[in-house]
Amino acid sequence: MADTTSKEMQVKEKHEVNKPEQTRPAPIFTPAVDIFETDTEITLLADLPGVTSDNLNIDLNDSVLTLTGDIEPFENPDEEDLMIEYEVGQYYRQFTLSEIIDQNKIEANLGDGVLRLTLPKAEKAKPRKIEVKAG
Amino acid sequence: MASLIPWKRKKEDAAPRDDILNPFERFFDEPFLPSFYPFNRSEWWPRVDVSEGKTGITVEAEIPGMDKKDIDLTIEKGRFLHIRGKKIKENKENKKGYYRAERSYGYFNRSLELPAEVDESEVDAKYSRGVLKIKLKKRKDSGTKSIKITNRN
Repeated sequence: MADTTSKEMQVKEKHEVNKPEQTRPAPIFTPAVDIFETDTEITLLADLPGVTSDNLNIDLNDSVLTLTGDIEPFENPDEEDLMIEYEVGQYYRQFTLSEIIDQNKIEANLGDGVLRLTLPKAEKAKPRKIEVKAG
Repeated sequence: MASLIPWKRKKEDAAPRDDILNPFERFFDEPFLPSFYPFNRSEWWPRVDVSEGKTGITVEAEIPGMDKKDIDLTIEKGRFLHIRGKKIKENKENKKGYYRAERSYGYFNRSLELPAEVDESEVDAKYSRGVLKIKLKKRKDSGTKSIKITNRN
């Protein structure tokens, strides 16, 4: 791929502070994502360990794609924490989609703590070969 | 391999010029040889929570996107828990390029010393939603233990 500046998908980062609708006090994490492109689609992989599909919200509004995932607090009664490296909280991240993505055909799949979002490119954006006829 | 090294001076009593005169001694000091073992080549490590109760210990590790057969879990001497594996990066031929690559791939190796000795036969490990949850039972007689002193071979 040649040009990374003309991004078809932009990542909105560090939006934690402005988040309006937080209902319970919990830390908010930005999930790690991989975004890659093929001729026909853009794929987004997001690490969301501990999130069930019921607790995952994918919202598309004015070409802003918002991922929100809640982790249910794990409870180990009668156990005392010895080491905590990850906390229970919420995953939150926003992305801006460009018009070339066919927003009606977005597919989402959550498995083993990884969300796979498939964003198909709109027909007009797909590269096509134009045959030159000899006349 | 250890038998090939005849005798090694402790670092603190070694004269500094020894290092210059005998590069072979230095060679074996470096953690060079074990790195051939693939699992020691840790490229990332999962985050882990450990909690302890009266009878058990719970360890939870965030390892999103794994196949459970690729996770290797071992308990050494009832006291050390090793979580190892390799997260495989999916390879698509027609990928044009990456916009973002933040997720971790490759070998990982996480070793934990447990707060108490555990029963190796009573381990319950589950992997779901990208979280590995290991429930360990403490060994009943782990409170006091007589230590056998043996001859070193």
